[in-house]
Amino acid sequence: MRLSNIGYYIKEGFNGIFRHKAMSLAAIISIVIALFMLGSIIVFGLNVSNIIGDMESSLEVIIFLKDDMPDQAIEQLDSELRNMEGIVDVRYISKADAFEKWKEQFGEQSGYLEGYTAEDNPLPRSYEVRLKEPSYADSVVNALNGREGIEKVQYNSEVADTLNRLVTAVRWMGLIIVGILLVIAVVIIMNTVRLAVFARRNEINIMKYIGATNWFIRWPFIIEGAVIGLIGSVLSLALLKMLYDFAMDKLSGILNMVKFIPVNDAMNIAMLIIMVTGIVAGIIGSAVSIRRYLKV
Amino acid sequence: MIRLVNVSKVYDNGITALSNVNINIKAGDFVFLVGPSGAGKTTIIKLLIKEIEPTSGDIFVNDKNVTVLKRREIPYFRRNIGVVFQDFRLLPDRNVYDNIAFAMQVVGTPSKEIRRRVPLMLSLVNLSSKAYAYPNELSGGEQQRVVLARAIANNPPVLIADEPTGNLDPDTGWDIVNLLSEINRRGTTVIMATHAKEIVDAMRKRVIILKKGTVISDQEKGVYLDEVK
Repeated sequence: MRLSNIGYYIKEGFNGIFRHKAMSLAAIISIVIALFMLGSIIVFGLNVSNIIGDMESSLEVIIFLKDDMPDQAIEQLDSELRNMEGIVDVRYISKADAFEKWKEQFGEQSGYLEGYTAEDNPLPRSYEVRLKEPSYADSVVNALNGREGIEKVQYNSEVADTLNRLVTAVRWMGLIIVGILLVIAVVIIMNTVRLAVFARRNEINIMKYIGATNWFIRWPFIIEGAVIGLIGSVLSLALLKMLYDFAMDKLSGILNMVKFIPVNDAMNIAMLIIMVTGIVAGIIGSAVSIRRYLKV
Repeated sequence: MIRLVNVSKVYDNGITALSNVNINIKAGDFVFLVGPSGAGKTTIIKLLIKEIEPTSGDIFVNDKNVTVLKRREIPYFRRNIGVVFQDFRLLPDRNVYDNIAFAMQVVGTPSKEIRRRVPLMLSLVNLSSKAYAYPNELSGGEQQRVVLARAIANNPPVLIADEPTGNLDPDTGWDIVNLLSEINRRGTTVIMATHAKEIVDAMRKRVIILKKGTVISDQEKGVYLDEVK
């Protein structure tokens, strides 16, 4: 590429967009639609996978202690738990804590605890342990089961397994759908650019007769494709952000226990994919479709 | 300057457009290429700008053998030839000034030189006042004058015109021929394919007559033979 021509290429690239306003607008609109679909699925998938992940990590191993377990043994268990691999959070529930929790859960309707106090009740002391990942459950449960002073180790492995399978399935599905949509988006963008180039095949032809080299003709088209891809991706991102903001606003009121990914985090991930797709498809679209008209 | 040596062209559909054509054109010549439709005029022009390849024979332009040119050399080769078409072929999305400037940008002319030379070309073809008009705002004659200005913007040694007056009324056609003649007077070799008997007869230039793909007559100061029709 001749360096002195760069200015010409860029200027012509932008000129091309404005000279063919209707064509450019059509290309931008279809890019916005294609990328918006892609972005929606990305953001949706990220949220679903995030929510399931949250549910997963909120699954706890509960260790009930016998009432006659000596304080010294409890202290030792405590420090062991805190150093055990795969455990992220250890909470001790005293008899008083358990009593409070019970009352919270069943309120005044429960007659079971009538006559008991916080200090003196039949509820066992326990540890609630949160795991880094469900896969650590087995080793933690095995290490504790049957130990001196421990009444019972409780872990709902079925739920954990289901969630685990679900999160894997969701991630794969998401990847496949994103992959398909990515291909569709690229095809739509490339087709649109091809129409735009087709509309200008005479122009390309004339340039060839005048003695323009292929690259001299190609560069402005490539820059045009990149700029149109960029505009389309920025617009689709803006649209996505607006709608995501709106949806979060409406949904978080209804689903208040669900934590959505903050809008900026979601956008950051979607942005990279969308911008790269838009620009690269724009460039490849014009480079490929111009090829057949250059053979004069 | 330009030589066709035993050139034949058979198209893929089996039609023989040229058979064993020999033509020799000296630098500075003004040559009419005449003959009925299908005689092979356009085929010769397409061969000269290497839009198509001959089936056999050799073609020399500026003493370069065109038939052995590599694909990537074609653009540079074409810059030595100004081409004018019957249907004008201006870039519809650019004004007159930019159409002429484009031909110079293609060859990498500095923009300062372009700004100097485009007005010169415009005044040569008498279109200074239409510099910022778009092709669809011009008459046929005006468009063809822009094409002429574009064709000679880079000072090519050869100018080829394929029926340049074909879409114009007689008076406007004469404007174009007079311009071609002026361009030739300044040293450019001009080859003009045409049907226009009045023009050929009045100009008294060299006339090469083609019929069914062969040269049937080649005369200095020739005329359009009636039997051609």
